[in-house]
Amino acid sequence: MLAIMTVALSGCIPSTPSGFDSPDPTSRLVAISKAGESGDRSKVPDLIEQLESNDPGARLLAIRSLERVTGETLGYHYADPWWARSNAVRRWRAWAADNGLASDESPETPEPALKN
Amino acid sequence: MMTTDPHIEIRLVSDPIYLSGARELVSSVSRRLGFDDLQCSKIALAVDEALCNIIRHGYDRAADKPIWIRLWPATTDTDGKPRGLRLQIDDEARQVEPEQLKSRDLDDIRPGGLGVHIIREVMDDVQYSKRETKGMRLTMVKHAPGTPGATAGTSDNAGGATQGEEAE
Repeated sequence: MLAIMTVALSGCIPSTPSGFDSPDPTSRLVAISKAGESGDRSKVPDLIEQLESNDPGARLLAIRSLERVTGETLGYHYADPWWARSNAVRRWRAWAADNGLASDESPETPEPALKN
Repeated sequence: MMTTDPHIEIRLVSDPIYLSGARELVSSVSRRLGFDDLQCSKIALAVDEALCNIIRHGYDRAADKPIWIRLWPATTDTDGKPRGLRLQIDDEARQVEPEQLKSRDLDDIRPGGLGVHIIREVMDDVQYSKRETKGMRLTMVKHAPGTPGATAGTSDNAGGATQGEEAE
């Protein structure tokens, strides 16, 4: 009985998101790094989103993964200030669109909220 | 060796709420010492990563521990003009061997992030040492662009676009 209830309930409990959407920073970094190792071009839109992360570590791994997958950096540097990065992210979005890799959503690059 | 008193010395507690103030102070002073906006941003990033590492790992997120930031202009010119920036960040966190604080392989992702890697990539000289009594000391130097030992912080467009310009 307990086993049946456990199985039944397990379908009701939302699983913790993993990968790019994980609330755990380390899991996010692992997902970003693995996307680069995989060479999977379908991950390019997710990696481009990570270029706008508030976490410089995530940005560093995202551009490294993008370079591994595409051979390009398009002038992006993870340590640049947001205004320089946003110009490069626009180039990345245009590049993705030109190469049939754009995601359905194409958000504008907002000025990031200030970190504490 | 730093034989003169620091030109700026602040003490803050290890509460993240003060990180932005520390960043802005260092960035603003860097600009006055001749660094461009891109370089100032990188120096501020290095300071931010250093402070985050102390708060998260050195003090296990305790918000009431002391951190000292000291700053000197690095004068290497015969005319005495500032040709860079030297920063020292001290804490009273547990001591670790400085060799343990080397930059790790980027594929070796562990909690703790990539802070040391980022600091070493962004600054020209980075040195960790144990303080005499307790805690650790991080000394970082950034040379002004065009001086021996200066790097562009590996940015493709460092020194190029200024704020508001399109870098396309």
